[in-house]
Amino acid sequence: MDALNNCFTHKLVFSKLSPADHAQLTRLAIRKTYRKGQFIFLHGDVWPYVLYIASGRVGWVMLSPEGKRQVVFCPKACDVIWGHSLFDDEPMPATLEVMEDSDVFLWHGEHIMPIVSRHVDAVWDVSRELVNTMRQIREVVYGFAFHPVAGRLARLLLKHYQPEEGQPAPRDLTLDEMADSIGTTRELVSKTLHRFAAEGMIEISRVQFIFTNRGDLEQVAGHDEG
Amino acid sequence: MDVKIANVMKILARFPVFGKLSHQEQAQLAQSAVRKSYQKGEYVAHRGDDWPYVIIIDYGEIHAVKLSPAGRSFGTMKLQAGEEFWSPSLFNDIPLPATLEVWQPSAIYFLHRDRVLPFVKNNAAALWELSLGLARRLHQKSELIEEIAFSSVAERLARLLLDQFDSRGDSPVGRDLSLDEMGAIIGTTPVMVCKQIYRFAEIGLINVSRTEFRLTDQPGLEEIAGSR
Repeated sequence: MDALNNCFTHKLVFSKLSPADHAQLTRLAIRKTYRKGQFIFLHGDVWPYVLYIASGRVGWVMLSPEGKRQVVFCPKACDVIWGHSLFDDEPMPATLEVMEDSDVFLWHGEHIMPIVSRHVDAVWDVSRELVNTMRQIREVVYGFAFHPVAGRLARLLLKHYQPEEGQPAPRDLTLDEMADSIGTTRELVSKTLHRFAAEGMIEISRVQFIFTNRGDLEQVAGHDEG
Repeated sequence: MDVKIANVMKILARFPVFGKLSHQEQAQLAQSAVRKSYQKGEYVAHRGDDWPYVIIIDYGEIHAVKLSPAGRSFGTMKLQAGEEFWSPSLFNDIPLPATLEVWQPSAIYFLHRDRVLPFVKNNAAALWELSLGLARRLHQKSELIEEIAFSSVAERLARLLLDQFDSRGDSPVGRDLSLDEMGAIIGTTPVMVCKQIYRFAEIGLINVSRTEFRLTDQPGLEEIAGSR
């Protein structure tokens, strides 16, 4: 269980628990390994669990009845997901899809809630975690309401690659993954990337991006978030 | 006990979080509550404010509205009588992400962070109720993503119009929302709303006058809204 001990004791909620609680959670944890493309829960499932990602990356994905896909956010190693069903017994509003091979730890609500409830500071942190999740969802909503595809793609590039001017960044997102993240098609992503290149904001090769004018890219992204 | 304070206590007790506090704590909170009245068009708080309040809507309607850099607005949340709102500034010291705008004459109770948190943060049962409320808001935000990411402007506008007709039966509906307000609710521009309304009128779904809408083909509008 070393993977569990590395980071999780410093996370919101868990940092407020005692060493004895950590030990108890370690004993109760269900460790699972998932391959890219598998699903941890599906939209509509009642999923009363807390999940800690020890390694890998997962995607909070929404699907329309027609099969259109929207990746809302991508929790990664050291992140924690609190299933909404823990609180309201309602079905989950999205699907959790494994984007990269992942090693995770799970706790059922019946096991973890009594332990967290021993510390009011930890229960307060649960609310803070939910507010953080709400903020990520809100950013996606604002992106759709206000930003055309170019703005959403520029925001994705800046957020995902956190580029330094002139430095190369390996291309670890496919065109399809970018399209799913910003709610458009791979063709339009490709066209917009090449528009950014033609306007001198990025250089594109098959394996990497070089961000040559971060300022212009930020302007396209319309950075105004509070 | 003062009648006003007793009334505020009754209101507080209806909310799951405050309902978990003791009678004495509720009384202290009720004493500290400040009630303010607002007219339509006024602002309760502005985006970017560090805004340390829980509010309870006594009557009226408040919208959380976000402005784009280009000056376009989008309403992300509607608060009505009997609903509460916990400012994000209470949790993570982050500024208010949207402006709270009064859409109908309203009265609001304000509870300051310094009064609320000492009681709530020491009460695990109240805190779990708070998490439950936040989880419900997350569901609403998720539905908003589905709405805006997966539906066309025509579908969203048709649903908005049907919601309005629904509350008035077969009667004509007064145009009490401006094009700007309709655009803010469904996440598009007033120009697109206007074009779409006249398209609906051209194909015989609604009649439009300067002051009201009349529904002329409910099944047709429902089909566009995706509810048939």
